[in-house]
Amino acid sequence: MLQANDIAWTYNGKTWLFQHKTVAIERGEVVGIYGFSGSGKTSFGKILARHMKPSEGTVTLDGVPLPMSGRSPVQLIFQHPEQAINPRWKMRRVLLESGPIDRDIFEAFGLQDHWLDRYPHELSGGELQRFAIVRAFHPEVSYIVADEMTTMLDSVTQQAIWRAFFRIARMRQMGMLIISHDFALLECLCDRVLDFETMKPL
Amino acid sequence: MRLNERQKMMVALFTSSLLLLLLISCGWLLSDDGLQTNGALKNEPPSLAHWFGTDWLGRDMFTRVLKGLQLSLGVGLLGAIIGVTLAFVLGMLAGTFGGWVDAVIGWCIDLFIGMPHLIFIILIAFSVGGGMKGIVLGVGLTHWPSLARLIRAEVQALRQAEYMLVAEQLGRTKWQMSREHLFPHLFPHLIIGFVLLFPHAILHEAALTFLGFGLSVQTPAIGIILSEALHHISTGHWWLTLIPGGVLLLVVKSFDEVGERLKQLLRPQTSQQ
Repeated sequence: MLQANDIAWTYNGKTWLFQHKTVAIERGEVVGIYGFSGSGKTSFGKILARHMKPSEGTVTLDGVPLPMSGRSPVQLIFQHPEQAINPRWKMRRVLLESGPIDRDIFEAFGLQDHWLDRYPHELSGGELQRFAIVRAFHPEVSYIVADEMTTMLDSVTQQAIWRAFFRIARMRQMGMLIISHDFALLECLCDRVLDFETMKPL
Repeated sequence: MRLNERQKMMVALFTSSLLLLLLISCGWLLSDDGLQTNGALKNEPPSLAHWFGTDWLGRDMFTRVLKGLQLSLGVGLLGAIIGVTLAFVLGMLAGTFGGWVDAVIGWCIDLFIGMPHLIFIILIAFSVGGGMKGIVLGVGLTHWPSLARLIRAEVQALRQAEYMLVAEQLGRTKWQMSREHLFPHLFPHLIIGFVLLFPHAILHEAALTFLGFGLSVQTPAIGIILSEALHHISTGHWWLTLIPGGVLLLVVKSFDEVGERLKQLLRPQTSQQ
């Protein structure tokens, strides 16, 4: 179980962006977090995936604090894939950074072999996001935090990506935290949706 | 045959590099005989025997110019290496550690950029006793700030880049991240900084020598040749200034060309042009 206990975050040590955020996600569970822009959802997601250290509180995985080095079992997928991929690397190298390419996942997301020899600027946003997702699914990953993962994509691509995403995640019994300000999307994807303000189910 | 943009750049790069190599190797191959004074051959205009003519002491200008260029290229090379190394080290330190390290280095950068650097170069060259050492140190120690500032900004931006965060999540160590993500990104800046500093250093060598703070009068350097030839402009001996000046311009322009082309070729966006 991935647990965030009483998490708080402040940029300057004086004003709190958020405080007392607690959530627990079981493996295989899909939890949605709904909130307005600027409410700190992204920072919360980054803390869960150990991109940032919380100002207060702890993140634990199965009762032990998340290891701060080595491969993280919690992977974050960003909103803008073009920023999450090194513009100087060809896509093959991007994927290999997380280990050998898993053909099942590769094909589930509809990736094509000839894209592997392209640079990021030669692919569309949807294609890049699929690469970013495939990269996140390394063998040790057990939780995925998806932060506005498909917000910048059209609805057809969104649907294709979520479908493949859920297939892989369910197959591997992964827990998921989906962060969005699109309530309809969360309602359709998640087992339960929490309001980021109160952390109560909506 | 139609060439695409990338091939045209390669051709320009190749031609410029070849020209520079040719000039350098000529300087080595030529004997020093042409540097001897010869009273019978004073002020000869360009001819087949003396391509660039002879000067008021009967020395062969072709030999002098090429030997001078070789010396200038040496000065440029050393000066540029010192400058780029300083810029890389200080920029990396400022960008990586931040805090007071960044503040001190930032203050030095502002100081060096704020002062006219020719004055700094003259002071440094003067204080170490002039000559080749003076010019190399003068150029190297004054030409790091703008590149250092660029490196610092790049390092700061890259440390926050999402793909660096992702690499950390994927278990890459700090060293691996620097080697795989950071350095390949900084490398083109260093190469281009180096190539662009090179001609700049040569011009400074010429300028310093021209002003009298550089090399001694008997060394065949472009600056000295130009400085001396200035006294002979009014006598109608045009080849004494025009040809060395033109060759210097050609070398500087070639280097500039090499730098610009490299800059374009190293960007991934140009890979399919």
